[in-house]
Amino acid sequence: MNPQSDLGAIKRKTRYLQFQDGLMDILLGVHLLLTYFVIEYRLLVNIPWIVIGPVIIEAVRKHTIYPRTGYARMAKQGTTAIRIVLVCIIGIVVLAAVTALIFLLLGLPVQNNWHNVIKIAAVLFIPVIFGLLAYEHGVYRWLIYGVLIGLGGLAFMSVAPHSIQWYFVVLGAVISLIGLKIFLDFFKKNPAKPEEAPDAG
Amino acid sequence: MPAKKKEAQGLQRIVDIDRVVHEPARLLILSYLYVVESADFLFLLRQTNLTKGNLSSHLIKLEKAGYVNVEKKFVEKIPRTLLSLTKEGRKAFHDYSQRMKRIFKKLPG
Repeated sequence: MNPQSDLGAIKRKTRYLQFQDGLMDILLGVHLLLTYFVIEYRLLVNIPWIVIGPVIIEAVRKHTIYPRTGYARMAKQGTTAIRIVLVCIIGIVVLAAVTALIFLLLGLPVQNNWHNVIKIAAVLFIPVIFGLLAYEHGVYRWLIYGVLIGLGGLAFMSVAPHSIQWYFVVLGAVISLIGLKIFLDFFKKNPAKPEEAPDAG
Repeated sequence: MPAKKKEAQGLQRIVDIDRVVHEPARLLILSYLYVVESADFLFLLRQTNLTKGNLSSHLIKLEKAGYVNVEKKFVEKIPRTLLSLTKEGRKAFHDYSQRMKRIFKKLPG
């Protein structure tokens, strides 16, 4: 029997299972790849991907992952959309205040520069969100993704502002490949066992 | 309250433990079902590392106690058993954890 009986650990382990197949990494990687079209051609192709991507992933999981690992639906935590939006707004406002303070300390103008302050704060918020996700699901590579997208993007933008789309293309390709590697490894680790019928209850 | 009466109450807490929940394999099953909304048989089989027969027999006991809801259905012609905690099951698990906490809280060291 599995000796891990701590409820918090069980919760984290169950949540981690959603990331064990690498499909979420591929979803994020493709999203970043599509950012190229958004920046270069002003085509919002990543918006439909946000809707279609999870549907495709669920279909893939239904036919390949769940027959190997089983299926569990996570309990709702009472986190409403309003609460998430509120946390995001408060987070960005706090980071904007911190950014404005840094601007002032560096002797940069703030009054006519609020749009830049807000933009930087929003970008800085990305690692925070990814960090929370990483902690909640025990999937710490996602914190690195958040840092690379937010802080890495900001650093690249300050060096080569007109080539930022290529940064996202490379990052998207790398994250997609990591996801693909995890996906393939998952099949090696979890071969289909015909003697283990998915149902025997 | 006299010390003897207090002691007797403490011991009664141990005697009154819900034995359906207390069994380690069932406790593990209930722990998983407590953190998820529902799970299928294969998920529990993989996560608990119990054998199919063992898991089935424990689930039958939990169902008989009214702690687990067993829903059998077909998904694309494949049979699937979905399991979830009932209200009573959730309460029993919660009460058990609270009782155990109280028992061990008084333990010296």
